[in-house]
Parts: sequence; structure tokens; C-alpha cells
Amino acid sequence: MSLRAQLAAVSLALLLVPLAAWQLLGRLEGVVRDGEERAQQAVAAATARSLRSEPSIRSLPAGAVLYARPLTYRLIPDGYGDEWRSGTPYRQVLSGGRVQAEVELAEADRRLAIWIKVNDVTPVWGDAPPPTPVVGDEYQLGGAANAPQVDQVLLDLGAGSARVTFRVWAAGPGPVRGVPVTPASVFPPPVGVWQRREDGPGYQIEMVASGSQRIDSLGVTVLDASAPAPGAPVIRAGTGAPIALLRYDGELSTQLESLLPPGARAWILHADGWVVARASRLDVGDPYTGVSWIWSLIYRWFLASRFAAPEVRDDTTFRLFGEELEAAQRAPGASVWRPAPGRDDVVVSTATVLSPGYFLLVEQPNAALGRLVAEGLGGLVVTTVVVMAAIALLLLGYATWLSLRVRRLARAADAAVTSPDRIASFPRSGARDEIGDLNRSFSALLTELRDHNAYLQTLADKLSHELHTPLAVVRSSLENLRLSPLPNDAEEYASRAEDGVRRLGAILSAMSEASRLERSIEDTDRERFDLVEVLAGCVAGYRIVHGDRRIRWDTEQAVAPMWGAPELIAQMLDKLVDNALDFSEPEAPVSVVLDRRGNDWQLTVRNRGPLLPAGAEVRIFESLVSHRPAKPAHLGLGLYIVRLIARFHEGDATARNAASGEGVEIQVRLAADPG
Amino acid sequence: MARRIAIVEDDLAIRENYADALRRQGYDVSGYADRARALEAFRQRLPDLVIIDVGLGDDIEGGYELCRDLRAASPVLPIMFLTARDSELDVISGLRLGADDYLDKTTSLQHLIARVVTLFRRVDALRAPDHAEDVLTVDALKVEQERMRVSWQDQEIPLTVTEFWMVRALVRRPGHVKSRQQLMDEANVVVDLATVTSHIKRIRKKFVAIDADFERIETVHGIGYRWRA
Repeated sequence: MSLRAQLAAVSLALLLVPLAAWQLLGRLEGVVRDGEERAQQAVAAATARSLRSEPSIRSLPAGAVLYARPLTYRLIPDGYGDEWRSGTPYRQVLSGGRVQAEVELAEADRRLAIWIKVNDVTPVWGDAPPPTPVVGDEYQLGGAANAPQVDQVLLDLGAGSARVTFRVWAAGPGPVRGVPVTPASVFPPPVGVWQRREDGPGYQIEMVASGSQRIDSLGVTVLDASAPAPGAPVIRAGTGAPIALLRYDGELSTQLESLLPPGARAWILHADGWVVARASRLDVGDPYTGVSWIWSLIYRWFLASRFAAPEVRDDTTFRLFGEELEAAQRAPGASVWRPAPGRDDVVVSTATVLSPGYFLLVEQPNAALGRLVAEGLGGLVVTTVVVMAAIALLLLGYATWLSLRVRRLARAADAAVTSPDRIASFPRSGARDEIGDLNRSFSALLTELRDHNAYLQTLADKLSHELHTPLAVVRSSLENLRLSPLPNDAEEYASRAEDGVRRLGAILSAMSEASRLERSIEDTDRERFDLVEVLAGCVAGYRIVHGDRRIRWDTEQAVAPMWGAPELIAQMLDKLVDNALDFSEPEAPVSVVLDRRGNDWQLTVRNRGPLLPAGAEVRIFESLVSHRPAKPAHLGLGLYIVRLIARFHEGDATARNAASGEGVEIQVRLAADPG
Repeated sequence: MARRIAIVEDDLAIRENYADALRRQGYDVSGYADRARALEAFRQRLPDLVIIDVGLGDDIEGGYELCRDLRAASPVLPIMFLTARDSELDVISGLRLGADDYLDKTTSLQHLIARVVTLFRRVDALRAPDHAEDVLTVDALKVEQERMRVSWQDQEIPLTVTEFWMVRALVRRPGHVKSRQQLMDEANVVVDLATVTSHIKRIRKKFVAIDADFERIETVHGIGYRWRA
């Protein structure tokens, strides 16, 4: 992993910044919401307090109610439920044993439309016998004796103290009329249509009741005639006694409106969600004006605390549902936030208990959140993105700079140390940081290495120079000794000493040869010559000198033009052949081969003999390095000279064990003369 | 009267060894350890031949200075450098200052004595009136063996003793290849073979200085050199 990638990974930590900001903003949003909720609850509580003293609130019926919504459209009583279907939320289920009935009420101009749907697997049609009057104004339809012969519905209409019970039955689908159980003139008999149920077994009745007085209580009772046998209990479902009829109160709505702060909407609700009064309209503006939709989207999806599910509440809604209402059953006040339907606005809705069984619901669109989003989120996102981008860029730049410097350092080091014995100068950095220190350490190290190398390279020279004088002393002393007669035993020692001096002299001369060549090689004059001629001549010479050895010479080149110093080439071949002969088995041939390799001549000298140890291929060309056991004293200067000369001819020398595995071959590449 | 040889050499052992060897040959040898003492003595009386070490103790280039002074004092005095240094540059500077020969300390006493004898003979020959000399002539080349003079196209080539011997060895049998070892033996020197190459190169240059088309000394690669007939 590169330095840059590592820093990029580390800079991922920057992502914590927007995360933290998001957390912070979320908490801030919570605080804002909390404040808004408290304020609204205070408003709701104050409004509720004012309302409680109103007589119309006090007169709200307690206990179970049936709700009649205002009829906002024209109704044709035909026994079919198409007018009612839209009002499924207004369905009021009447409890009963096996029979279940749904009742729905709507009212317009004192005409009460009643929709009854009965779920009955065994509808019984027919004419009903007259009822049996009982004591008082009660009548008895139950009991074994009075088990109904047909399915009937009893409607109890009440207004003030007046109360009338109508029986409704049908011999078949079609118009029906309520038959009063007790004679009465307060209410004309309700009329309507009895039909088979459209969506299952049973029947449905659509009736319209009216009266000179406003109906204020209603009882709906279903008598099921499908009792299996005489004496079985009558199955009835319904309200039993008439219960209060609750309706939307326009006057109360007006009163409520006067109590509300502008922009807010309020509802007075029965515990079951029936709308008793509604004031004002929700003044839903667009608080995000000037705020990009993207912020509101981001706010809605990523930042906001939970929103309640949106609810459709408008002028035609007469029953409300919502979490706040459920919550208000348990606590004195509860608020939820929900998005205004179809808009980007947010509405806070607070429910509080108005009187037993009734709630006050206050709704208000909230602009504070919009502002928070606009000013907080937008600013935050922009700022963090800009800051993050800037920091990331900065880090990336810094990493690039660092890795550039490190790479430059590595490249300089590579360039400086091209080979173990050649160390070029190393640029010294002035930077004061750790990389600068590293650079200087490198520089110092390489300088030291170069000095040491230079010392090693001149060691042979220095040694030979320093040893010359004492050697001359020994030699001249010995020679003087020779000039006078010696005792016999001294003679032997003297000749041994002379032998030693001679050998020492040879070693010194070999050592100085390398250093002398090194010093003078650059001044050598170059000329154009034929490599084949030089090599062939040399090999011919070696064959004369080393008569007992086989030296092969092989090339396909007729001429091999070169630009250089033929004496040096000859000197180089001397060393190569000497070296090959030294390390070769006495019977084995030494071969000298010249090939063309691209723009170079490749001279290969091969001998059969001991192999090079691994890793010695490069070092073998260094001064005073020898790896193979040889019979004569081998100083390891020959191949050093070979390489000097090869490099002078823009080439190089390499050594390797021959592919046959029987010996060593040394290859010298020499630049051919392009001209 | 014995010929007088001065040895200027800072190393006592070498100085005495050389002096003893030369004395045994009948020369009158005096040794000096440094330049000041040598100059002091030479001011009194010049010797017949001077052998100088290049480095005289701390006086690293002292030998060259002395050579320059002596050459100023006497243009014909034979001067021979004897040194542990053997680099090309040293050889060239020594010869440029007018030294007659340049030997390194690996040279044996016999070779040294041979050179001394040769130098004296040349001095004598130069001094002596013309007499029928053993002169070797090959084409435009004239080798006066006694005087150790070589001329090419009637112009004298300023060769050192070593170089003279090498040229003579090549010319004695024109067309025959002389190996480096043979050349070394003829010139009474023991040096490494590469030094022979540089000697030959110097000889060529000296000829070329007089005759730009000189191409008679030929390299036979891997074997040696020959004088092209």
C-alpha cells in the first residue's frame, strides 16, 4: 500500500466530521421539536380550558354514541351501498352473537339517512306478525313465545322525551317502511329499501328517518329469525336502548375558531375520533421556499426524527385517526409530527383531553424545522463538504509530496549505487524534517561507502607503492650478498630468499598493473581496428606460448570493426585466457568465441574446470576477489582489468557457469564500431 | 681515476646497498640523504653520474627539483631516476626534465650496473673524436651503438637507454617479432608487460614527432612487436 493510499485511508476518518455534525443536528432538531411541542401543548391546553366552560361542550353526550356525519352529497335511498362505501371509516359495528351489523349514519336537513348492513348466513324473509305489547312502553319481542318469525330491524328514534320504536322487515328485496310498535305522531315512519347483501350472506337496508323534532338519540337492534327451534333464545344485535346521536356542530366550530392562533387548525373529537367541531384550515405554506428540494429530501430521509404516518384530514373528514389520539387516551397531551400531505411542510399535531370522552386536537404547520433545515443542514452540508474536500485535497497533496520525496530519495539511492564498486554522488537535501534527515543519512552513508570503496580500490596501488622500497632493500641486500662468496648453507637460504623476493615482486607488479591501467585508461588513444584480427593474432601467440594446451578460436565474423585500443583488447584477452588456463583442467581446451549481438560484439572465453559459487558472478570482477581454487597464486586482479577494459569499450563483462555445467564462461560485450 | 657516482636516496639501506654494489665495480660512490646535502656537495664538484630517488623523505618531488638544478648546471651530466614510483606520469615528468633513464626499484643491481656502464660508455663515445663506429643502418634508420644514438632520416631521436635498447633489439632482425619479454630482457629491465607497451608507444611518438608517416614499429597482437622491413 503506497504512502498516498495509506493517507487516503486515514483521511476517511474525515467522514466522522459530517457524521458528528449529523448527530448534532439531529439532536438540535429534537430540541427544536420538543420546544415546539411544548408550546403547542400549552396552546392546546389553554384552548381546552376556555372551551370547557362552554355549554355546548358540557352538553356533549357522555358514554356510547352513534355518529351522524353531515351528508355532503345527494343520497338516493335504494338499498345499495354505493353512496356509503366512501365512508368506510364511519362504519359503526354493533355487537351481537352470531349476527353482526354495521351502521352508518348521515344527516342533512333533519333527515337522517341510516345504512344498516347485517351479516347473516340465514336470512329469513316474510311477513312479521304484530308485536306483543308488554308492560309500560316496553315491548317484548324476545322469549320463547315471541321468537320472531322473520328477520327484523328495530329502529328507536328519540327527540327530547319522545321516543318511537319502528319495526322494519321485508318479504323480499324492495321498499320497506318502518312500522311503529307504539302509535306515535312525532316521527313519520322511516322509509327505505331492503336488499340482499352485495358482498356476502345477509341483507342491507338504506332508510331515511325524519321528524318534526331533531332526532337526538337512536337505537338500532337486529333480530335474527334464524333461531333453530322454538324455545331457543332470540339472537339480537345492536344498541339495545337508544343511545345519543352525535353530530358535527357548526356553532361550536365557530367558537373554536375564535380561540385559535392564526395558521392553526383545531378539532373537537369524540374518543372514537368522531369530529364534533373543526375550526379553521391548516395554513400550510411552503416553509422551504428558497430551499432546494434536495435539502428537504435529505432532511426527511436522513436527519429528521420519526414522522407519524400522514393522515388525510380535510373538510370532508369526519372521523380522525392518529397516533396522537391513541396517545392522548393515556396521557393528558400528546404530539406527533407528520408531513403535510402532498407538501414539503411539516405539521405538528397535539391532542389533549377536553372533557371525558372528548379531545381537542390542535394542528399547526411548523416553519422552524424548515428554517433549521435550510440554515442548518444546508450550511452544514456545504461547509463540511467544502472543508472535507479541502482537507482531503490538502492531505492528498501532502501525501503526494511526501511520496514524491521518498521516491526521489529511493531513485537517487538507486542511481547512486549502480554497482558495488561505483557509487555516484548523492544529492544532499536541506529539508529539516525526517525525510531530510534520512536523505542526509543516506548521503553520509554513501559518501562513507564511496570513500571506503576508493580506499579499497587504491589499496593495491598503495600497497605496491609502499612495499616497493622495503622490497628493494631486501633485493639489493641479497644481491650484494651474492657478490661475495657465501658459505654453503647460507647459499641455500639466500636462494630461497631470492625466490620469495621474486614472487613478491611479481605480486606487486600485478597489483600496480591494475591501478596503473585504471589511472591511464581514460587517456588511452582510440583507433579503428579489426577485432577479429587482434583476437586471432593473440590466440596464435598463446598457442606458441602455451604449446601444451589446446586453445580454440571460433568466429563466423570475417571482420569485426571496433573503435578503441587494440593493445587494451589484447591485454584483456591475455587476462581472460590466463584466467581460463589457470582454472582449467590441463587436458581440457579453452575456447575463445566471438559473436555478434545486436550492436555489440560478444567475446566468450570458456574453460572446463571448477564452477563459480552462487552469487560470485558479479563479485568476481572486483579487485582482489577470487573464488575458485587455482594452482598458481591468484590475486583476482585479472578479471578486474577485464572489466575495466570492457567498460572502456562501452561494454561490460559477465561470468557464469556454462550451461553444460562443466565449467565457467566469461562473456565480454564490446560496442561495435558504428562507422 | 675512478668515476664518481652520486646516489641521492633517502633510504639508508638502499643507498648503501647500491653504493656497495657500485663500489665493488670500482666506482667512487658517495651517498646523500636529501636534496640540500646533495646540492651542497655538487656545488663543490659535480660527479660523473647521478642516481636520484624522486621522493626524498618529506620532499616528495625533491628528486625532480634536483634533476632540474643539475641539468641547469650541466647539460651532459648523465642523470638516472630510480624510484618506487612507476606511474606513466612520473616517468614522463622525469624524462621531460632531462633525465637519461628511469628505473624503478624492482630493477636488479646487475641491471643497474649495466645501465651505469652503458651511460658512461655513451658519454665516452660522445666525447671521443669520430672513429669508425659500429653503426647499424636499416633504411632511413641509423643506430650508433657506441654513442647510443638513433637517427631517422638523418635526424636524431632522443631516446632513453631503455628505449634505445628496445629499438636496437627490434632493428637487429627486421621483420622478426620480438615478444615483450624479449624486449624487456634486451633492455635490461624487469617491469610488467604493460609497461613495455607504453615504452613502445613512447618510442613511436618520438619517431612520429620527426616523421608523421612513421609506421615501422608494428604491433603483432598477442605476441609482440616487430620492425617492418
